[in-house]
Amino acid sequence: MILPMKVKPHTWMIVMMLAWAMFGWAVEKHAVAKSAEEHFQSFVLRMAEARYSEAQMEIENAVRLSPKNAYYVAGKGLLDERMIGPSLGSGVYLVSTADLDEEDRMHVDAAMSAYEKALALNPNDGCFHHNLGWLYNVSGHREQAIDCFKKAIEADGASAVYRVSFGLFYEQGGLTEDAANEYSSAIRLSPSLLDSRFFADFKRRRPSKAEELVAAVAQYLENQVRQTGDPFFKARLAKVYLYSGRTEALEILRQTTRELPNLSRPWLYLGQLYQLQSNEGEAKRSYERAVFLDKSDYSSQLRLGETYDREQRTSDAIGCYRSAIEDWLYKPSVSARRAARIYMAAHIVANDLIPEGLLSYTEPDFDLAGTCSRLAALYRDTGKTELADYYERLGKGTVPGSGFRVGG
Amino acid sequence: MTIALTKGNWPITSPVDALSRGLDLLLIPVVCFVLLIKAYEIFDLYVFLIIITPVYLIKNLLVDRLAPETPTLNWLDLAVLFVGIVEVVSYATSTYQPNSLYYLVEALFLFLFYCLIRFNLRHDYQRVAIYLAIAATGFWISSRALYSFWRHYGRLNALGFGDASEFKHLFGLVGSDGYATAERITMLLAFLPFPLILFFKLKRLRRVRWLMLAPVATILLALSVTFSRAVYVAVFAFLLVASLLVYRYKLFSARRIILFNLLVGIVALVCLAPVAKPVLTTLEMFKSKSQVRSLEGRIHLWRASIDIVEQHPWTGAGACNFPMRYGGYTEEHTAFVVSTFNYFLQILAERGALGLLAYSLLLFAFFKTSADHIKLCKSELYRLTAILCVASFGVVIVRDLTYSSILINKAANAVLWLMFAAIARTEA
Repeated sequence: MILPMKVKPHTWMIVMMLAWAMFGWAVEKHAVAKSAEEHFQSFVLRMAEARYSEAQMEIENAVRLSPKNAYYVAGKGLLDERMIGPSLGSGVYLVSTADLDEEDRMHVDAAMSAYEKALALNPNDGCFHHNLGWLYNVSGHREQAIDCFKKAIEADGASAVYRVSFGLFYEQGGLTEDAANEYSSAIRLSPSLLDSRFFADFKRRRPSKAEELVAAVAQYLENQVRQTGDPFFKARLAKVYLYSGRTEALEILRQTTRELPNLSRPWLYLGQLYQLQSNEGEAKRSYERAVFLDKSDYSSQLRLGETYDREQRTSDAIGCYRSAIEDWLYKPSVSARRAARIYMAAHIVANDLIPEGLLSYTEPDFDLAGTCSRLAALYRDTGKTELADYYERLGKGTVPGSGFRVGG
Repeated sequence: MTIALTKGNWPITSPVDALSRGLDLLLIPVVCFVLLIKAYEIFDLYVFLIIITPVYLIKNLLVDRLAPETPTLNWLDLAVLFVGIVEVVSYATSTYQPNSLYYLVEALFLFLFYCLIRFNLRHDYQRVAIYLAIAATGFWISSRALYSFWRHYGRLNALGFGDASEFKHLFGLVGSDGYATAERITMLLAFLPFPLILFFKLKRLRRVRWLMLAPVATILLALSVTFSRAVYVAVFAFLLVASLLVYRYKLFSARRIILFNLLVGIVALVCLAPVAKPVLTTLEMFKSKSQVRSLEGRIHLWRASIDIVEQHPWTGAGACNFPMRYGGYTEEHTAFVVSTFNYFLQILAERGALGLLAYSLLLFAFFKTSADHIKLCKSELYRLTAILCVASFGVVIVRDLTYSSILINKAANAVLWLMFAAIARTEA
């Protein structure tokens, strides 16, 4: 296996020197990328604290050092959107947003430009397409917006949020049927949407349509379960049944948890069902399992906290309430979690969706004020007044940066 | 002044000689430091290698040229060089360079690390010390993994969950730095041969050598509680291939080989008795819902990955770009995946046909060089090292036929490249 020619060690040493020089060049580039990453980390922190002017400095430095990083470029766009007044905040999805002032328009244009650049670097990012869709919509370019929403769904067809956005966009334009179709697809993918503020609002606006939609989703999932027997479909169907108050949910959930016991949500739903049946012991057990499987699920943490609270296990209840609040405030969106792997990002912007409040609007609703108030009371009972004061202020929304997820 | 640094107890005759010996000695902590930091991924060692490389380069050029031996390059050296060049080309043609830069730096790091060992691992004492360090690291990491498993297993039982194999992703066996256990556990497969080499090498130290079985046992047990089918297949393959090769080349008698395997089997059976159910579930391979879904998902993913290959057939999409490209190529656009779950497909998708050729050549050169070495070398230690390294690298590849951990796992990569260098050096 020895080479036919005898290579002199000096020849190999020259190769090594070349490799060393190349390595030095690559390490230098890597150091610049690291430096950009540090600026991006500061940007993420400033964004969380809603200190946008400082965040702007940081993201500009990050983009200057690493101009080909699509994630940083998109971060710049996200910041511009956040700097628009309260007009794009939560709860304004269905009203015209054409009354932007000059400064806001500049931010919208800058944000669009940034997302377009980011998409030129990575055309496969569903979140970028989705965000650009809303920005086009704000600036009155409906055709481009439709195109963007379609591309977002094409890039990540499993995302319920993109479909909700598309539906809201249709509803805004008076296309109720198209909107309902998108909502239906979204709920099929993620039935937990039924517990969100989005669905509560929709139900308020169009109660009969909402009922039709739930029935249609249930029928679709029933067919899927019949055809495939897939436990994921079973879990989704059980959630829809649970929402509709149908008793079949219990048996389906028992089946699902037998077949795939490592899924967290079915245990949460099972706990809710047991609780409805006043079976506190089984409910607690199910919640404990759900929390064990997914510690970052604020719904499970909250339910378990309430159970412990009723049992007067104060310190356990405090732990669960705290986790629930932190998860609710800081849990990243699905696209943000993926960004960590797609862009090899050490730091991510947890709420990367436009509009700012969309993330909390489409997730199971959470009573932040009520939970903070209860936690504050428990802390006061245990003599920890400083923490009690903090959570009271947090509940009232007076802690700086605590509202970044909900658009406060 | 005479310092006994080598087995031959050669006297140090000049300052140059002293410098050479000193640097040979320094290589041990350098290599151990690199492997340890890689195992924990605490920080990167790029600047460290930038400083160390020229020191040894100067040593090789100015000091070692006095030595009569002239290192003869072999195909493994060329294969390693080819891989380095392909990584540079892959970066230059990458569809998203910010991601590919990370692997370019890593690939050049591995190339220089290889050269460092290739031209400076010259003494038995260096090998023994480095292997001892790897064995100790393997023992520590696998013990921690077992402890982590035990804590989680206790909690699982308390919650009434029956089959632990369904919850293997929660155990956090080898660090919790954001990577999945399955991505990191490969490092233990790469560590496995080193305590075994020492066990056979330290024949004269009868009491000490048995200590070497402790890392073997903890590594095997830690691998067992991953409840991963591919890892189980890999472990069986390792024991089988190593035993057959050791027997074939008459390093040990059949009786001793059978006794050793029996000992390993009995220890594993006794230790795994409390977790027999999940072990049996894993051995059933395709019985549980999770196992069936996992296989179906992989088959679907392999088909979808071919689309990416078709788009970038020659140089690929660029290192570390698979997760980014996947979403745009699948028909259903439903799932997010981080890798192709197949080593060769991963290389083909990210580095193209050129990359596949380079890595295949590396594989071939390693096995061929090792085989030649096993046949020709007189030293029992070197032959055993080659056999166990072949078995280890082979099973890492077997394990990665249904996963893509080698390219992600820096520790496994570093140990594998150490093996390449050790084998290439031995032949020279």
